[in-house]
Amino acid sequence: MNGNMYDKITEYILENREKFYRLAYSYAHERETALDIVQNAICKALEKYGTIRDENSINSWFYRVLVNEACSHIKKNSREVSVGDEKMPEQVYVEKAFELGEELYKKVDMLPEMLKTVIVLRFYEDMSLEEISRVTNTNLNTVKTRLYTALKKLKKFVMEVAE
Amino acid sequence: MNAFSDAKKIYNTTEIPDELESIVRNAIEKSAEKARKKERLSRFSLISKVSVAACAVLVLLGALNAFNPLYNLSDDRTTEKFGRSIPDAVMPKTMRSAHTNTVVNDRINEAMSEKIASARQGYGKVSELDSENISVIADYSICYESDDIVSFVVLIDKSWDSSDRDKFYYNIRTSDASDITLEDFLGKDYAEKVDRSMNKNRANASARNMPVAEADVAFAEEMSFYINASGNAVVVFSESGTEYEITE
Repeated sequence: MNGNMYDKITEYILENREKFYRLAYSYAHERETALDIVQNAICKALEKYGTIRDENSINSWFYRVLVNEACSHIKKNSREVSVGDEKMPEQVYVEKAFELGEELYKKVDMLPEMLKTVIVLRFYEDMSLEEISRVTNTNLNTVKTRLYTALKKLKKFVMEVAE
Repeated sequence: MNAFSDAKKIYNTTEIPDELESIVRNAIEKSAEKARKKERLSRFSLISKVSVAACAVLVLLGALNAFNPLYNLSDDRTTEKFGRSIPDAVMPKTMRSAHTNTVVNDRINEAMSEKIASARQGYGKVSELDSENISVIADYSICYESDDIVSFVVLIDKSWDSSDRDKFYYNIRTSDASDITLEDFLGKDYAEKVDRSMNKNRANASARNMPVAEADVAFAEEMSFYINASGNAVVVFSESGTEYEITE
């Protein structure tokens, strides 16, 4: 085992665990499932840590594994995922000013998986388009197209953003 | 402040479970333990090391029964769950047990060898990777088993590809290991049955505001399938990985 790189990866995972959970939860909408996704992603990533040579690529590499794991879980369990009270994050206090954001949050959540991933990574995780390209293993133009398509679907909310 | 900022605030209010840290630490520890165990068992496990220089694949299929590196994790959370309904215990027992029918075992081994060889060919396109740490790991899982039929999936992990493992489904007769087609399993009107079940599942998903894969529109002859623990065919869209259980 390359201990140095392994340690860097585990340190990165521990530091960012809450971000990973939030991303997993945005797909799963259920606490236990989100924890499963995070744990499985960690196991899969560490199993293949030897493929990482550059520590600067750890972030996009791990997000790629995590997004794959989350999407894979959703596909396998699409007939079983509940969309009840847990659709929104637990214990959220929403002020009136947040109403538009809340509506947008719900709309983003209902986007097809590939479009949702681009929006979540771009606007919630603040990733650049190049990073999203690496995470989703697609070329930059595809990312741009998906982003455009997603924003088009969210048009009336995006108009608000453009003001 | 714009709407996306507000949506992000909602996203960031996702409550973090207290046990997250311990689960993460546990996963890291188990992975480290698994890596150490794998190193110890490497001579016996089903790991094909691909040397770029020699471009050779070394496979020790016979060791699969005794050592199953992908499933060493005992915690339920980390055990690969396939098709939701397959008991984890089924997977290792079948190969180890006296599947009195050696034809089945031979077919599983043959399938894994084929897929390892294919993975090796695919590696040729990935030139920028270091020649060390290049490996192909093959495993299998029994999806369904009866006196007449065995349905199994071959799982291929490639160390140079961090995306999900590749899955290849096989449905064979226990008598002669010949393939069973969807028509054999569902009857002559198999295509209509698949489409009806898919439409029903999609309608249910849509009614529950669940995302529906736009590309997965209709049955195609090349679709693969497996048989789940309930004895129903489950068709799989290879591109998206979406599965539809055929309940008719």
